[in-house]
Amino acid sequence: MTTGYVGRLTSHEPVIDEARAALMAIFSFRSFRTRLLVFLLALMIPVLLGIYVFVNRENNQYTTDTINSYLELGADVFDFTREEHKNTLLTITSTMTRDWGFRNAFGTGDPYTIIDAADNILLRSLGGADMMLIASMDGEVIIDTKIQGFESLEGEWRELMDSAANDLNGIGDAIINVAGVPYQITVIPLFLPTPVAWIFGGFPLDKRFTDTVKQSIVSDVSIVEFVQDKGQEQTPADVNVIASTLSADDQVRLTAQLQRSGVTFSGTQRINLADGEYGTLMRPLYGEPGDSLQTVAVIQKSYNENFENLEAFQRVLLQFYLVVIGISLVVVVVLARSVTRPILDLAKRVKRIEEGDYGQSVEVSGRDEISQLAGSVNKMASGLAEKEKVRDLLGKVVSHEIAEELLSKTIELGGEEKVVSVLFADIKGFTTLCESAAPEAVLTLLNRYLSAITKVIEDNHGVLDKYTGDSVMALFGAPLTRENDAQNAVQAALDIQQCMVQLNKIHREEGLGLMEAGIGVHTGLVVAGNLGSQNRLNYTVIGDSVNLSARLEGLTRIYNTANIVSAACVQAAPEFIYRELDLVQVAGKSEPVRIYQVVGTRATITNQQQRELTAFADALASYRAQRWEEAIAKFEQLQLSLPESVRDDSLYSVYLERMTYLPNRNLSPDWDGVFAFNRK
Amino acid sequence: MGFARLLSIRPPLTLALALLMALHVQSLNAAQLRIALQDADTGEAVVDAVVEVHIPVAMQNGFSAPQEFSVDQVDKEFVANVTVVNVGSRVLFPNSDDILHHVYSFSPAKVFELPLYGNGRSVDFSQIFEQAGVVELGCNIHDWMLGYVYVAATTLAVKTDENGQATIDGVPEGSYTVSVWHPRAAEDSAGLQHSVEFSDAQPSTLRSALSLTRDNRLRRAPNVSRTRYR
Repeated sequence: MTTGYVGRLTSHEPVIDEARAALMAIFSFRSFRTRLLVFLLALMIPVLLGIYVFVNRENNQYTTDTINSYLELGADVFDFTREEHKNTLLTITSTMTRDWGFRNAFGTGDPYTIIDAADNILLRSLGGADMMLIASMDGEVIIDTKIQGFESLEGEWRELMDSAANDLNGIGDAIINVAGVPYQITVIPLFLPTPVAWIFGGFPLDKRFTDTVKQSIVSDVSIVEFVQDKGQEQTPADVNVIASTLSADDQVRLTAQLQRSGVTFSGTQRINLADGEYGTLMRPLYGEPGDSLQTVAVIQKSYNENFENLEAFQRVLLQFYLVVIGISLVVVVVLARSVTRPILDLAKRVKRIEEGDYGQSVEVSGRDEISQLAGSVNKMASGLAEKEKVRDLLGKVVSHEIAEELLSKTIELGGEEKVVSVLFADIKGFTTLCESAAPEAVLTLLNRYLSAITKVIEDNHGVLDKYTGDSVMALFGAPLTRENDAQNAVQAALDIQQCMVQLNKIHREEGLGLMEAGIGVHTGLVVAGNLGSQNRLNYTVIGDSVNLSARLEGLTRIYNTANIVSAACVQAAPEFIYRELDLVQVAGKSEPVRIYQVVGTRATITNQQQRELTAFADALASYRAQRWEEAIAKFEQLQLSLPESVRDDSLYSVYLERMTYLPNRNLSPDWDGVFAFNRK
Repeated sequence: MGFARLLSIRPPLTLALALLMALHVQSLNAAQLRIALQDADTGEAVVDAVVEVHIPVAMQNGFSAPQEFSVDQVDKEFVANVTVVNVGSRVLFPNSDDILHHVYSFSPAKVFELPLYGNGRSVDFSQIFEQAGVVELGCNIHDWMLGYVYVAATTLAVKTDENGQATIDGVPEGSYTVSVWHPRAAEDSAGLQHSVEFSDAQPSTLRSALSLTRDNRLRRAPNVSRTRYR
């Protein structure tokens, strides 16, 4: 990802591709281990997160449910406690009505006696009853321990009396405000033995009561009254806490909250107090909705302690996650190492194989995919080593290029026609050389010579076709065709000559015989391909051109030249300096061939050589014109320019010798100058 | 249903009428009051109502001889439930139950108590009722036990039977006030005071309907009968 895709919004496709590429770039990590780690974390973290969220949600739900059921239970217990207190109250008052002493006291009809008797009962109730009011059957107050000041029962008192009168047992109960405090009031009749009076008993729903309830429900309890003037329903009611187990601060908070929310008996509210959120449930005590005074019980339970448990659980869960992730990371690292180590070993090994080192096979242990791969790499290495061995051997037996050609293609019989420059080289007088030397020395000599020549040929991109004794056959243009095949062939001829000079220098030092090479080069059409049987093949070229090259090499002995190059070759490689040697008709060929000797390049030719070439051309012209005397003179002149040791075995001596008998033959005036060789 | 449950026995009305006819035909020569009371609301016979003929004090001589009555306590109930006595009479409160009773009254006509006693003969469980009026009897042990002693000025008082009927014989000729009382009779009920003309020639008749209030009697405790455990 080298270019950003900013500003390349011409179409969507590139953008998407770019984005994909960017994504790929993000997720294509250098090492397998990192990839594995990221993959694991990408897999594990959402799962762990999901579990965490789920557990958290369930726990929250559980906490809410727990608190709600606590509150429901608390409210029920509150009601139950109130009911129990009520029953206690009834028991107290009921027992009192059956008390003979009280009956006697009541029988006296003296209010002071009766009120003393009542106070005595209250004292003995151990807090079960707090107030007592006795009224006649038609509601005239006889005594009232709270001295509320009315002489005849009124309002809720009278309602309670009426409801008791309608009850099967003459029993009634209600919550009635007594001097600003809601009282649980009960009433039963006094039988003497007919009902003669109503006995009202009561206890306050005050701090003592809320404390008692709190002991059993472990929730906070408050008695709260809502005061609202008639016709002022729009404004929030005044909220007063009558009794509460809450602290004074929390009572203020509760008051403020209830002023906003009002009275509701359905469901749990959440109210914030000093130490966090409280689940809040209300129970009706006194008054109806819409009444100017409504008193309710408020049961409250803090979410905190449950949330504390929850937080502890979350901590444990997170610690567990850390351990799991830690273990997973270690496992991944170990796993990644167990995978990457053999792979790295394998990679090193493959790298070595690429560099050609087939040894040192990788250890194979186990049966997993990597072990299988290692085994395959080992097999591949040994296979490659074997192949390389074959290729090496092939390269030694045949030329490198041919070896490549053979290896790269399916080997099949048959060939193709192509223009190839064929070079033959051998050692003149090799047989003579062999006679005078020990066989081992000859072999050493020959190997040195062949090695040198082979190197020259290959340096000039030639392909060695075969050795035949001291003779070498080389191809330029097969199996691979190059643009300057002929040029390479001629250059190779010149280089071989140069190489012979070097070799002779060494031989002279070692006291060995001197060698002279004869080289023939021809460029022409040949058939190149694999020759032989199905089982044994030989890449070579065949055709007239090959034969001609061999003939030309043979002619070097006759013309006493180092090399002979055909006219076709001269035409194909005109960069060199040649001199025309003759026009010959070789055995088996009807067409005469103009033959040349390559002398050198324009750069290397000396002026003296140039003069000699000109003189030779002049002499050759005289010869072809049958001006024998003139020609003989010119050739003798040329021969004289040569060192004395080679005068008798020179090109000029060939012509001089030829001209000893040609003038005696009756040559036609238009003689073409072709010299025919009938033997091969 | 409520505290005010009516205790009532429904008598066949036809039978009552037939009886009245028979009495009418059987003509007697003494002044007689024939009474028939029914519930103003239901028309049912009013049982245990007390009817008293009030004759002037000067005439009471022949009708005020003290007598002896008995209000028994059987199966934790006063038997009879309503007892009519004349002033000066002695009433015995024997206890026929196996357990003790504590009979009391806080009624202004007679306040008394008979502290826990059984059925031993050595116990004096008699009271003399000197003052006319209704005395409510209670038992301090059994709150549902409720009985009445109606203390009349003379012997010219009677309580109605299960048919709501009663008869007072031997009333001197003349015109007198006749009062009707019943534990559940409303204070303002009609038919509580009558002026009746008595003649030897033929019986006088008092047929009246009463408005009854609900019965404020305490119900018995369900486990009241413990006899089977003895």
